[in-house]
Amino acid sequence: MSAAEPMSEHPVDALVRDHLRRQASTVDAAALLARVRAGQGEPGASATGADSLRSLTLPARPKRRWLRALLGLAAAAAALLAFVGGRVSGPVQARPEVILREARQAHALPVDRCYLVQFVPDPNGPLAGRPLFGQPRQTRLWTRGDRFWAESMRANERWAWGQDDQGNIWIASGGQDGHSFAPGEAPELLSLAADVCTLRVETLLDQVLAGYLLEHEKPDVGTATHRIHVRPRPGQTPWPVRGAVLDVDAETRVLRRLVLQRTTRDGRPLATVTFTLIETQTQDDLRYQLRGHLEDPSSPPTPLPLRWRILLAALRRAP
Amino acid sequence: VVDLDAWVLATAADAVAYAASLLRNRAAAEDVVQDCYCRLLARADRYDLARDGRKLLFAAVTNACINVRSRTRPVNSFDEGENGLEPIVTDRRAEPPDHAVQRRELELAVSDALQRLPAMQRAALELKGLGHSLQDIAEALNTSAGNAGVLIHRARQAMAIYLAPYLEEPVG
Repeated sequence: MSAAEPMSEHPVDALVRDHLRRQASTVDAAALLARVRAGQGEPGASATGADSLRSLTLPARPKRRWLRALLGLAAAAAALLAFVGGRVSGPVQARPEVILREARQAHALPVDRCYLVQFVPDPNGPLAGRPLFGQPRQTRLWTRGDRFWAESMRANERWAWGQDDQGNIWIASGGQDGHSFAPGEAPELLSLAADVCTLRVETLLDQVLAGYLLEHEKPDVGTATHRIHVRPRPGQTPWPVRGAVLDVDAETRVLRRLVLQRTTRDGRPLATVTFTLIETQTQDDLRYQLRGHLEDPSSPPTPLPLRWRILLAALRRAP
Repeated sequence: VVDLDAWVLATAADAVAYAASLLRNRAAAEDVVQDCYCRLLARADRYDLARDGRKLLFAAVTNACINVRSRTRPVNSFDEGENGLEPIVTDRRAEPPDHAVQRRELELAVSDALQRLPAMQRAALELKGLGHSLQDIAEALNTSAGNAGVLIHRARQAMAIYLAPYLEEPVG
C-alpha cells in the first residue's frame, strides 16, 4: 500500500477520504478488539483460543511432520481462497447479533402472524396452581409488532384477550362483556400473563440483544433456519428468560419457533413457553381491540365493578 | 514480531468505517469486520501480517460486504442512525452554526453520492481514498489493475456530477 499524496489528490478522493475519516473517528476500536478476542474464543472461530492476541507472535512456524506440512499447504490454499476470494467460497457466516437485529426489523413491519403457544408453568413458580395460567395449556396467538390477541381454543369456552396499539390490555368474555385496562392499570396477574404468555418480539429481542450471550448453532445443510441459543451472562440476573432457543428463518428473518424459559424479575423460574409460527395472514385492526371481540361494539364500556367480575370469571375458568 | 492487539487497534477504525460505508449499517459493519479479523487471526501463522495484514483485511472486508449486500434485500429505514451515519462527536464550539450546517450537508451529500455508485466502483473509490495502491485495490476486488483504474475513474466522474454543487470547479 502506498501513502496518499495530498498535493496531487483528486478532489473527489479528498471528499471520500474525509468522509471515511469522519466515520472512522466514531469507531471504538478497543470495543471491537474485545469482540475479536471473544470471537477467538468461540468454538470453531480460531485455532488459537488465546486469551490475548498478544500471545501470538509472528512469524510462527510450528514444526510439523511432512504429512502435516502437506495438509497445511492444502489448508492454506483453501484458506486463502476462502479468505481473499470470499465470493467463490460463499457468504460469510452471519453472526447471531446480526440475525436477531434483522429479525427485529422483520417483526417491526405491520404483518400479522399467528403462533401456537404451548405454556407449561414451573411447578415451583408463582403461577403454579393459579387460575387460568397455573396449568399447561395451548392457545393461538396473533401478533403484529407488540400488539397481540388470543382466544380460547376450547369449544365450551368463549373468551379472548389482547393488547392494542395504545398498550391497553383488554379481556372479553362471552362476546358480551369486556374491559380494557390502560397501561399500568391491569391486575398484576394479567400483566404477568401478558408478559409471559405472549410474544412481544421487538421488546424481547431488545432485551436479548442488550444483555445475553448468543451462540449460533451451525445449521445443517439444507436447513432453512438459523438456531440461536440465548443464555445469561455470568453474574447476570436471568430476566426475562434464563435461557432460550430461537429459530430464525434464513430467508425472511422471521421467528419460526421460540422456546423461552421465562423467569420472574428476581430470576426465579416461571414457565417454559414455546411459540411455533403456524400462519401469516392479514388481520383486521379490530381484532387487536376489545370492541373487535364484542357482539355489540357500540355498547358503552362496562362500569368499574363489572370488570373485576369479568376478570375473575375468566380467571376462574381454569382448564 | 507483530503486536496483534496494536495491529487490530490501528486498523479497526478504518475497516469499520469502510464496511459501514459499503453496507450503510454500522452494526452489520462491525459484525463483518469482527468476523474478518477472527478469520485472519485464526490463520495468523500463515500470513505476514506486518507486511500484508492491512491489504488482506480490506480485501476480506470488501468481499464480505459484497456478499452481505448481495443476499440482503434492499429496505428503506426511517431510523436515523441505521444508515451508518453515526453522530460525530467533535468539539464544535468554535464553529459558526452556518458552517456546521454546510459541513453536515456536505457529509450527507458525499454519503448519498457514494450510495448511488455501483458496489465495485464504490469499493474501489473508497479503498483509493483510504490510501491503497492500485495493485492492492485490484487484488481486493479480484480484478486487474487496469480495470481497478477504470472503476476509480468512473466512480470519480459520477461523484463529480453528484457533488457538482459542492465542488469549486468542474472536475474532469
